[in-house]
Amino acid sequence: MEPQGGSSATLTAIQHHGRRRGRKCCSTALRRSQQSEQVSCELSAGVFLSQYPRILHSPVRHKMTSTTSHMSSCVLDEQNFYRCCCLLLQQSEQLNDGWSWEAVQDSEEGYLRKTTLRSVVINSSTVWDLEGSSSESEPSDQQAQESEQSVPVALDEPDTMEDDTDDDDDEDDGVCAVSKGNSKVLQYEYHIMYSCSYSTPVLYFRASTLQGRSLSLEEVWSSVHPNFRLRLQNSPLNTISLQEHPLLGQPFFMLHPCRTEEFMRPVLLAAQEQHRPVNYVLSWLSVVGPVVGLDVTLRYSQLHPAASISSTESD
Amino acid sequence: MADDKDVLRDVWFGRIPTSFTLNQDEVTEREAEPYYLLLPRVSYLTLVTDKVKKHFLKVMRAEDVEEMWFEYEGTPLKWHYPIGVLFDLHASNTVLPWSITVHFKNFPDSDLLHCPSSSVVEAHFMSSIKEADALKHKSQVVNDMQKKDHKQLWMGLQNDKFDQFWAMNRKLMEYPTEEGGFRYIPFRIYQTMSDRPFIQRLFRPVSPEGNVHTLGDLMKEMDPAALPNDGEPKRYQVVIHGIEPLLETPLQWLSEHLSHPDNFLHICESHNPPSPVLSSVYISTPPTTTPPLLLSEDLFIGREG
Repeated sequence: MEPQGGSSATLTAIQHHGRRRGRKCCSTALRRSQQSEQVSCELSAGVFLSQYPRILHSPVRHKMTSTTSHMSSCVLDEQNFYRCCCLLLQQSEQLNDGWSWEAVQDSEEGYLRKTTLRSVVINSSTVWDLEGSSSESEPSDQQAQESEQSVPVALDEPDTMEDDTDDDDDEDDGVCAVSKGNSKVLQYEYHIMYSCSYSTPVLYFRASTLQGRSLSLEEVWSSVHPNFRLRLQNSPLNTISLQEHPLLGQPFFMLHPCRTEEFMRPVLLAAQEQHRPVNYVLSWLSVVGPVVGLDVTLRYSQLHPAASISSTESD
Repeated sequence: MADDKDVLRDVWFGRIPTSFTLNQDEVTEREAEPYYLLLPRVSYLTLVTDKVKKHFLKVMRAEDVEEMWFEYEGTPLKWHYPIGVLFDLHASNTVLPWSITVHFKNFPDSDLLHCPSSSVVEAHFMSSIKEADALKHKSQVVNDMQKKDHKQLWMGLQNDKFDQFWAMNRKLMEYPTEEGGFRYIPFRIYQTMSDRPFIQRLFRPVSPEGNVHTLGDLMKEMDPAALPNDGEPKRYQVVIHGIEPLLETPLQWLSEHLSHPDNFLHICESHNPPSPVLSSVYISTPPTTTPPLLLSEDLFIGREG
């Protein structure tokens, strides 16, 4: 399977994947979305985009865990993961936003991949001076300062946070909410994979300078928007960590999936109540992607609606 | 539950005699002697090599020292795999002691995870335990534990305290009797000849018809080529903790007794011809309650306690 063979080859590869496993998931999904005029529901990625800070830190998530009777609909099994990817790829092709499918050789598995250049703004340039010589900078100190600065913002002016988020929704703004400091163009590579342990998608990524030097974990943290950083670093399990890519065996950064089900459940339950079909992977990506600079364009919501993804896992 | 406490002990106290040699290209002020250690199979390289580092730093200038990493015959060793897995995967046919080369520069960024401190090992270890419990109990047991319970698991491993670790770990090994086992078995299969780091999929300890799944069933499902057809000689070894358990061994029993402290059953599949050490010494105990287990003395070299 040639990963670079263009979208039609890509889709064929995934269809093949589905078939080889005795699943007609992708071909069915494709057919449905080709006949999409007949499907009337809207995919509301936009809604999720505007809600993501609230979803991510939802105060109701502990209450939600008690609604176990509805849990079956909040789990993504592998078959549906591939179906969601298939739809996302098709839409990405129309929007020309760069997602492709990478099949792993001699394997039925694979992942969604996208690379992008991103201009990252940092308050202080010290962290980035590692390029030439060994650095005497103290990235952790700098982070601490930044966190302290953003504490009052997060606590006293929650509205400000949402304004920032709205800014981010503008396509070309990137992370320019922080205006002071130097900007640096970085190459990001994102992979979306399925975790069978957590029954969720997982976002892996790596970042490097244009000269090819890989970013360290500290540098990645410092490129995370301060509003997100404060929240993430307070969580018991640091949510960005360096891990082995389960298919490639190389070091990648990973957003840990152990909380994914928690923040996706309200999204899926709401959609279910309103009989709205949801592409799990796309909605999830619109929540977690912006944390590490991967914005999901609102135009996904204006495209063909997604087929409803309902889970079949019963236990 | 875990009745076979001797097996748990033997697994925990498995040691590999190892010699650490400084890479020839490192700049030293005087000749560096090799350093010898008995490495615990169930621990991690970066957790038990403080002494190695100290030893070599004595002959080096501070400005020549970057992050320490290890290599065996050209392969950078991934510290985030348990030591026993690294040995079974890369060095099972080696003459002991296992000869590991130590580096202090040119860290292979594209192959190895950085490990600046033991808190990185702790995060990795706890993350594995959580993932295993997600498979076994939908995370219910590990989420019900308190922070000090998590700490107890970690401190048990870090300080090599078998009783401290197992007093807490046994909770992670429980399951409802009527279900006959965990929800799924946390396992990873490593293949020496594969580009892929490991195979990890969902696999239940009991079939839908109620039959107990064995190690052979798992291997057949994950890698049919691993098992010989009738009459064919064996092409692969299926190795856990340096031994080849019978393929008829129930998977649930293996998961409870031969899992690493991270709660995963790490299975190495190697191409190598069977070594006499591994295939000759068997202790077979096949009563109905306790599944048969093959032991080789090689596994427990340097056994303590």
